[in-house]
Amino acid sequence: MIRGAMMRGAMMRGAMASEWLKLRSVDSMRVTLPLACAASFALAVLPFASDPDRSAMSAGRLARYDPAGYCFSGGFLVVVLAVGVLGTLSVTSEYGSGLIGTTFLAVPRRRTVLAAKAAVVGIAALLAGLVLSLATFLTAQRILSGKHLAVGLGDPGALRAVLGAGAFLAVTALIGLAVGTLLRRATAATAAVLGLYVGANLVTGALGDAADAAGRWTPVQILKGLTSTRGASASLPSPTAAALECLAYLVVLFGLATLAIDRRDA
Amino acid sequence: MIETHELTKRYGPTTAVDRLSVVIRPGRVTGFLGPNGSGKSTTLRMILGLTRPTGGHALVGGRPYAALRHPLHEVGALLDPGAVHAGRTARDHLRAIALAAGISSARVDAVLELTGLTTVSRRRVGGFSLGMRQRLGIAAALLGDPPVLVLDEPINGLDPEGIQWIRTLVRGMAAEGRAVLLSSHLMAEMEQTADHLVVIGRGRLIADTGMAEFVRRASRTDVLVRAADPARLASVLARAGGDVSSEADGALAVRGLAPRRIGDLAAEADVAVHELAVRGATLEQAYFEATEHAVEYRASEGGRR
Repeated sequence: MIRGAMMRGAMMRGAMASEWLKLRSVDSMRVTLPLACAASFALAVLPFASDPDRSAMSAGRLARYDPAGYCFSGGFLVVVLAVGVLGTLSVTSEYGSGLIGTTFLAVPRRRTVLAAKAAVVGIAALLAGLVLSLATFLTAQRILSGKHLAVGLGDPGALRAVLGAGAFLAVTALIGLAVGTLLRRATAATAAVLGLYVGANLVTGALGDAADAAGRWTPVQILKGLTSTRGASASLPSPTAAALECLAYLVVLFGLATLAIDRRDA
Repeated sequence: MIETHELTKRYGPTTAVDRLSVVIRPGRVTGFLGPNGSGKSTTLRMILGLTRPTGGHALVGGRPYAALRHPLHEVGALLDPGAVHAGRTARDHLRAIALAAGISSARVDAVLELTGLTTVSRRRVGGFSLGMRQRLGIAAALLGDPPVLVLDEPINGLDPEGIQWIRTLVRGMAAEGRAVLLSSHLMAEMEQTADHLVVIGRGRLIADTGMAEFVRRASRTDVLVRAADPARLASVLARAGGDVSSEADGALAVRGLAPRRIGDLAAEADVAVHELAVRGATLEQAYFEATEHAVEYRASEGGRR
C-alpha cells in the first residue's frame, strides 16, 4: 500500500514536471499570457484616471463607488477570457496534434495526467492572477489617492477582492482545462468558454429581473461577487456564495472530465 | 513480449479487429501487414492502452499496458510522427516525455544523438520534415531503452539513407533480444527487415508465420526460359508435365518443372536455350495472394491480377 502510494506520488511529480515544461515551452504561454496581462492591466487602470475628484461626486455616487471592486471589472475581463482560452488550449492542443497519445503512453493513469495538468495550470494561473490583481489594485489606488478616493489593502473587503480576483483567474483556467478535456477540439472548447463567460451574461442581462437567480451563477457575476466591496444584490452573490459557486463549477466539470478521460479511447 | 488474446474492437456494427490472438516474440522483427482499414492501427492502439478493446485483452511483458509501472521502460512506441506541438523544440518535446516517465535528461541527449537529431535539437519541431519527425518519434520510442518496440510505419517519409538507418537500427534491436513489431506498406523493405510476419485482413488473422515460409507458400515461383524455338520447346515441356505460358516478349514461364529438367528436355529436343532463370516469389506477391479476399478499399478496375 505504502509502496503503491509512493509510486503514485512519484508518477504525479513526474507528470507535473512534464506539464510545467509543456506549459512554458510554447509561445502561446510565453507571449499570450504576458500580453493579456499587460492589456488587462492598462484597461483596468486607465478608467480611474478619468474619474472625478471625491469632492465632485454626489453622495449617491460616492456610496456606490467601489475603489477596490472596480479594479476587477471591465479591463480585467480581458485577462479572464485569455486565461480561460489558454486553459482549454493546454489540453486541446494535445488532442489536436495527437500528442495526448504520447502523454498517455508515458502516464497510463489518465486521472494522474488530468490532475497534473490541473495542478500546474491552476497554480500558474493563480500566481499570475495574484501578481496581476495586486499590481492593478495598487496602481489604481495610487491614481485614486490624488482624488481622495483610494482605499488600502487593510480597508474592509479590499484584500478579499484582490485575492478573489487572483483566485478567480485560477478557477477560470481550470474551467477552461475541464471544458477542453470534455470537448477535445480547440474551436468547440473556446466557443464553450466564451459562451459561458460572455454569452451567459448577455442572456441573463437581457432577461432582466426574471433571470436574477441564474444571473448569480454567471462567471462575470461570480467575479463581481468576489471582488465587490459594496454588498450583494439580487443578481450578485455574496463573496462566500461566489466562492462556493466556483467550487461547484469545478466539482461538476472535473467530475465530467474525469469520467470522459477514463472512458474514452484516446 | 506482446500477447493478444481474442482481441476485439467493434465500432457500432463494424468490427475493426476480430478475435485476434498473436504473440510477438523477443529476438526478432515481426512485420505487421494488412491492407488499409484492416485494423492494424487499432490493434497497436489497443496493445498500448490507448483504445479500449470490446473483447479479449492485450498484454505487454505479461501485463495490460495500463498496469505497467514504468511503461516507457517496458515498451517504446512510434504511432504518429505528427503528434508533436509545432512550437516546441525537439529537445523540449523529448524532455516533457522523459520527465513524465522519470527518465534523465542525459538519456534525452543520448537518444537525440542516436537518431542524428543533436544538431537540430533546439529547433522547433514545426519546421521539421516528415523524415526528421519520424526520427524524433523513434527517439521518443527509445527513451526508456525498452525491451519491446512498436513502430507504426516508421519509414514513411524517410530518404534511402534514413530507411537503411531504420533497418540497421531495428535489426540491431532484435539482435539484442528485443521484440520489435513493425508495420509498413513497403513490401520490399519489409522483406529485408522482418523475420516473422503477422498478416491481418478485415481485422482477422490471415497469417502468423516466418517470412521465408510465407513467401514460399505463394504459388508464383516459376522458371523463365528463353529459347531459339519457343513454340517447339513449349510443347515439349507441356508434354513433360510443365505448366507453360508465354510472356509478351516470347519468353516462356514454366511451372511444375525444375530448371535442371527443363535444360535436359531442351537438350533432348535440340532447342538452344538462351536464358534459364528461377523467379522466386516476392513478399509482395505472397501478400497480394494472402489478402486478396480481405481488401477493404480497392480501386474498381484494380490492376491487381
